[in-house]
Amino acid sequence: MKKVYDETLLRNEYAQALAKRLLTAGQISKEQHEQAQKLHADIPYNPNFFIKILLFFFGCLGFSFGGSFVSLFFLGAFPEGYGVLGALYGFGMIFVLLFLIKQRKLHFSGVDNALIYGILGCALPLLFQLYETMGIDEVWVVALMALPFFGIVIYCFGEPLVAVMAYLLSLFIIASIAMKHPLTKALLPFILMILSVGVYYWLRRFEQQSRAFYWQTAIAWTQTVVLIMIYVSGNYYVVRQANATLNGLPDPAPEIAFAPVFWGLTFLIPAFYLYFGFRERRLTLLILGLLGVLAAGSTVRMYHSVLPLEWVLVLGGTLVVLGAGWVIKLLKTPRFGFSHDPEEVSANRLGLEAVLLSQLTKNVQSADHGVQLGGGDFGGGGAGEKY
Amino acid sequence: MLPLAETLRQWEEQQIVTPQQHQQLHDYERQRPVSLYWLLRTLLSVGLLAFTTGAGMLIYEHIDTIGHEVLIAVLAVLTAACFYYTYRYSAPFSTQLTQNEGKFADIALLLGCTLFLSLEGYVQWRYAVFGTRYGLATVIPAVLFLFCAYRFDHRGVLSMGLTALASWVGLTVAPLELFASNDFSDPSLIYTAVIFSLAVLGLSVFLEKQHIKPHFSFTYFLLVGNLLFVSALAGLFTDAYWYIFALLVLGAAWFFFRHAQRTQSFVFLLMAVVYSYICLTYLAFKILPEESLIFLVPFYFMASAGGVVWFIISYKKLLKNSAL
Repeated sequence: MKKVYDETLLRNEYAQALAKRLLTAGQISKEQHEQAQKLHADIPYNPNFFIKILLFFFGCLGFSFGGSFVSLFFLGAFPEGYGVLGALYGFGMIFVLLFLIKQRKLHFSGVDNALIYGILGCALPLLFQLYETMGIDEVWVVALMALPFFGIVIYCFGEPLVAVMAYLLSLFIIASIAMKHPLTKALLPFILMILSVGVYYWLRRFEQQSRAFYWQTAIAWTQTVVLIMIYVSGNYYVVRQANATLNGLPDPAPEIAFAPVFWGLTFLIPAFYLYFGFRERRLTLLILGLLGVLAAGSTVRMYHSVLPLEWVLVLGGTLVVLGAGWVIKLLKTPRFGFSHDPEEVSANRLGLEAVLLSQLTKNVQSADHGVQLGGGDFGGGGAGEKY
Repeated sequence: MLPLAETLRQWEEQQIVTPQQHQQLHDYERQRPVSLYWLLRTLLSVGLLAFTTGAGMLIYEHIDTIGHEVLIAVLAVLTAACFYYTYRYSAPFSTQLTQNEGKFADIALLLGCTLFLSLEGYVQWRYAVFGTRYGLATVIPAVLFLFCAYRFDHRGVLSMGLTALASWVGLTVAPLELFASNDFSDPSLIYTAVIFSLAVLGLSVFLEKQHIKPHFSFTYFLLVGNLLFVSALAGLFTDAYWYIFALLVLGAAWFFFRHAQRTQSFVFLLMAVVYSYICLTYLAFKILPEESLIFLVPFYFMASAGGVVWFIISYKKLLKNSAL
């Protein structure tokens, strides 16, 4: 096993971005920037986001129809052999993938991601066939059998989504085993939480090492999902609903054991995220903390009628606007390691804004005029009907 | 941040930076403040949205005690206040991208425009001021928004204005509802959509050539382009003159491809490739004999998708603007 992507290229890409950032900040001169660009000239093919989508889409299309093309020739002769055939096709595609990466210097360029998912998916039919012949009714066993393949892909490619999937699969396996014993079943939320906290700390320690560079995208993605899962496994609403579902209890879900603990976690975890996000200047933690506060508020409202929704919106909206305005004023001069420097408007953001505002205009207009305008152009409207 | 130390060490070895600067850059990178710009902007918008939605619900509940006249007056005052704030704190008109000095002017304008829509709809619902002249009711916001977009340099308001303009001719350009809200089985709607989008795109190109807000063409192309492609494809699938629509899709795709190249906005490349691929695939299966399809379908998709991928990753230079 070895790393597939050329690490020198990745480092060059990092260095070029660093040089550009330092030039914009006026920390290095134009000549220095040019020299750095020359030194790190060899970089991977990292196209624009939309080209990546295009490459991903057509990569998936080509891969799947390539598979059906192959099966047209062979499956007729061995109808039972679809598992083996799939695995062989996937195995063959590995060489196509490696060739493309080497030839075209791809690195998460869309098409290589598509092929990685496809190849990994090709191993599944064979695993399921194996699982069926074993004659046991434990789905987690398939997950356990698939996990080594995920591990290999993560090691060789550092693909972020595969890393996230592997983490979720592991959680699924642990949860399935824990469900077998009443004691561990009762402690399931704590088990999952402790496990996730462990994974998080291990990732934090690992990313400090210089060899972690190759997997940095995978680490960042997994960390985000781990943080979400930590909150989800501690949230009172989730635990209460999951408890009812897993034990086949009637709706509405009854009260759970350790309720105060889960209520505490529902609020404490977002507070922790916000605190550490502030202290370590991590934007991800700050955003997750804010979302967590929102989730905690919704959880309270789920069980106690504190305030009517309209007042929550009015007061919450006011609070958020005032708070954001206050922080903006505060950050006129950078402090605490944060600033309010305008960032570049990316095409993605611009496009998203155009789409959302167009939708908003359409909704308000159709709510106003309804079907009066006729012509079938305002079907469906009605959302955003304020008055 | 270990790659930082390694990169800086390499620069020092290559004598790109001096040892002192090495240390200085290292410290700068480590202590560089994290910008909360987009986070705070998003929070502001979300807060405003929550507030207005909540206020709307409150008003709806208490309409009997408040009275329609009071409400309309309040809405009108708020709308006017938003427009006044925008006018007071925004940069003077320019044909180029302006740097808005008042940091909240853009948000105030957005709020003002949304409030205006609600106000207008409310007045029409209550007093039917426009009677049955619904065209007038939709063209007023379109004109107002387009004017504001150009005067205050706001791409968001431009997309609101284009949406209102499209609904004036009976079309929906909102990309998420392009299929749900436009009845493409109606031939006259297809013709309207094609003519409307060609006219608006033509206007956009003309304005860009005149150097009037050239950065607006992104919004024009994104919103109207989708309408053009989808309606032309609908024409291809249903109309007797399908070949005209096929040529239209391919021609527009070429035009969008060139535009993507020129402006380096690759969302237009995505549109050009996907829509022309749909068009060509449809044409291919129209021509091919039906009995051989079971073999040809997988082969066609495998080969064509592979071809598209190979083309893109092999001819990177084609996508780069040679003038840059």
